[in-house]
Amino acid sequence: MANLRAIRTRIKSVENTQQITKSMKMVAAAKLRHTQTAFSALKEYAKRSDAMLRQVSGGSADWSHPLLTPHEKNERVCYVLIVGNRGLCGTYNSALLRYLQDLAPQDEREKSLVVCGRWGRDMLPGAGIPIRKTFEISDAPDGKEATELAAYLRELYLGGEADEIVLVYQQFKSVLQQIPCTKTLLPMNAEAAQEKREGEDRLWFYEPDRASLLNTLVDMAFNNTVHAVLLEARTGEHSARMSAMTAAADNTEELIGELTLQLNHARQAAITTEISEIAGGAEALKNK
Amino acid sequence: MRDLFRLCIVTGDATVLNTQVQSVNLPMDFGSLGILAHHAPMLCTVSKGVLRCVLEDGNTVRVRVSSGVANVIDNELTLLCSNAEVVE
Repeated sequence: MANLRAIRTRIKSVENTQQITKSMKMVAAAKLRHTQTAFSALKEYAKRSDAMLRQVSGGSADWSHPLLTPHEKNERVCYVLIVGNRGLCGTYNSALLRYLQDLAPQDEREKSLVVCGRWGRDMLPGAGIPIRKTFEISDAPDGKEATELAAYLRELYLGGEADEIVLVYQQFKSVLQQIPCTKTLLPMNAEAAQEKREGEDRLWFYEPDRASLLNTLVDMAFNNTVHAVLLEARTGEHSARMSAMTAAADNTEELIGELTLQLNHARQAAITTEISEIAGGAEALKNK
Repeated sequence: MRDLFRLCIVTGDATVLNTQVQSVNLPMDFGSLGILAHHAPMLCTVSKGVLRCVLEDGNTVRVRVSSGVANVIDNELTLLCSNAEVVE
């Protein structure tokens, strides 16, 4: 009977775990929807600001912007690692960390690291690259957080502390697939800005003047890029967590099935033993 | 009835307004700038303040906007800013 009780306790505890994994899955799904909506809203914003940049940079006028100009020497690289805020999301974080550890030794430049995400703050010391700063990025990063990070990275680049700034994050391919990748953030490669439009300018008025509008729009494009990458990374994190929790919920289902079978076996065995004992006893009484 | 044009106010989080309007008053550094339909193509910075627009039905809507950039082209005014909310 002790065995029966042990199995029942076990089933109960697996059921509790199942409840937790199922609710975590639902939370992740809700957050995923939220970041996906934000991502598509930002895409619209970025599309329009790129269109404006294209208009203002068109024509033959020569211009440059410090964020678009590479430094003369390229000796220092700063990686910006965007990891999750917590674990329980499969290999999302660890795969990214491994990717960085494989990538960094191939680069002979002086390296430093900016970390975004709580998981990175707790797990990273020891990755071998000196950490400049850690940013806490919420589960649904808004424009303010993106601007803060962008301002810090801009200072780093313009102040000459880094000659290249590279983002390391998980690219969101689909809910089931995220791929670790790198993207050079600075010097910026603003296609919209560098594309020289043919023909005459369609715009007649610039207020206050063309150069300052260009600066504003390049800054805008820069902030948008940072915001978009943060949102993409978070979307990936939520979907990785959702898949991990779905798998965990399925496993608990399976485990409960197996344990119920064991329980039934044990119960059946106990009943059989009881019946044979009663039958044996009755037989013994009859023979008296 | 006056000619109409499209007004789009877009922030990083959402499209706040996308509607046909009769006229728009943009807050700018030097004061406010009125825009009607068929305005010449223009690109300008907008300062923080309250934007007023007259809708197709003649009602006025006020939108509190942060600083940003506005673009008029092809009878459409697009305003990009970090924050915008319609004032009730």
